[in-house]
Amino acid sequence: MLKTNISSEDATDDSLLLRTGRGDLEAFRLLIRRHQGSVTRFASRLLNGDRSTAEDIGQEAFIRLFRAAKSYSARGEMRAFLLTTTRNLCRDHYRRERSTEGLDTILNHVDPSPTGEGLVVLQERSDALRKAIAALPEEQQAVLILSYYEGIPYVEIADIVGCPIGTVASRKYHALATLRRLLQPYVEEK
Amino acid sequence: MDELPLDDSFRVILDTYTVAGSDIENRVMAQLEREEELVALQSEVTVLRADVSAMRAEMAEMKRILGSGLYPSFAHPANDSRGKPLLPYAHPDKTMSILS
Repeated sequence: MLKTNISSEDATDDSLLLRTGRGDLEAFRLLIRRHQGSVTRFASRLLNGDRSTAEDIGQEAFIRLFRAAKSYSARGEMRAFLLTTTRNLCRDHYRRERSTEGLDTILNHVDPSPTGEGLVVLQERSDALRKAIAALPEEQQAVLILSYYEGIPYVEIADIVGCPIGTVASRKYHALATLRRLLQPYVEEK
Repeated sequence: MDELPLDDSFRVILDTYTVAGSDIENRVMAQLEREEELVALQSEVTVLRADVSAMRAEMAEMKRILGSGLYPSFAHPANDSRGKPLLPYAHPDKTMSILS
């Protein structure tokens, strides 16, 4: 495949994706480096901390982006495409898992990140928060994660989840209200 | 709808849910390479299948010609100056034993 040097890493997503569509793998590498963090974090949170599956899903999302690059017309929606694909893949995974694994198992999945003694309290709160987020309706989870944790503007979230901006704001409001209620004991601890 | 105000104690809890992003660049690029190889192999297989198909058709045609006894060029192979056939495999009996 054709390879060209990218003179600057400041190139826009659109221009990198257009180059990717012409077979420029280095441009695609730059896109991966730029977005792999938010894609895998988003997937990981939607999957209740299942990092391994989140990486598989992130990989598949980028492969689909690569395939779509040939027919891409620059519209400034690349990140929305990537995160929408990630969300859809997570939903598909959840549907498959739910039929074999059961909701409780998914909700109780433990993130195998290392913990030290001093982190026990923090870990307990984090686990409670993770379970509370997992208990939210998926639409609210997606909006909360994209807005609060990824800092993505409402207008772009509206594209990703396919609803009006007002609905995005409403979903975030209800998600935070539910979390506050569920996590009240931990809030009072502080 | 207005933003729900987040006091510091609630924000601290929300911020405990940290997730590290993963480096999947090499995995993605490796999969693309594998897919490219697969596509190349598939087109090679397609060419080979077409070759085999053409050879089968040729073989069937040869069998048809030999079976019907309509093989004038084989029945009268070119001879050398001493009258010996230049193409020994063109003898109908030998050819038939190979093809049958």
